[in-house]
Amino acid sequence: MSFEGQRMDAFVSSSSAGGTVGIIVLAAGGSTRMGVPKHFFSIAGEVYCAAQWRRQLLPSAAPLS
Amino acid sequence: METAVATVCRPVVVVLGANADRLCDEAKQLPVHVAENKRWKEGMGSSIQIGFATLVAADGGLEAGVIMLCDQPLVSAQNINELVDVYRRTNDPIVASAYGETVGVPALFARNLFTELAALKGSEGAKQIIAKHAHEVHRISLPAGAIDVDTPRDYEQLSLLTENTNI
Repeated sequence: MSFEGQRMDAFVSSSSAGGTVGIIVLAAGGSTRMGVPKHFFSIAGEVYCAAQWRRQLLPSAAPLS
Repeated sequence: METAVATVCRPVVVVLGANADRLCDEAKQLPVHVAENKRWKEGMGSSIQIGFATLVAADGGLEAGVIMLCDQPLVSAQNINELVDVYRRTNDPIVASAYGETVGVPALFARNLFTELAALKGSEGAKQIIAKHAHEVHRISLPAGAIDVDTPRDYEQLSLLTENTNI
């Protein structure tokens, strides 16, 4: 999926204001830290995403119901 | 991702990049829009750009958008909902989280800032927009925002913290 060259101002000005609030979860990794993408960490060669491990750390924090 | 789904915010957009192939299947089990940033190595700016493009494409009538990170495990849906509540009460164009010595994400941005956010480049992040509009920012204290997980050591420390405090 590519959004290169997409004009946000066209989106914003052509749509009516008011209503909902959206949310963006950034889980792309952004650059790297010591060779591992940020938001991720590596144990014994396996790369883990913090978003996945959150569930194990905080099992009560998965309110999907 | 589950935290975002549990908030009052809709739609939910998840921006993947590194290891997207491994995370995509899991993300698609949730009621979220998945966007892939193939330029993730350039930094957070490109992910924010794609995130807002996807968000607006999913709902052109959005009043505001929240940015959150996947690696702030102690940030809760309640914390995010508070940002929205404050925005609705004050109409301040930016509602951001204050922790440590900084003000950053999770943060809410009114729609008139979407174009600026989508123009972020490379390693630029939402903090640039928050700093630029400092006089318009409503700050909410969120000590949990200071805790992120980027390394095995971070993970171990957080594991100990959650065991000791029964979070």
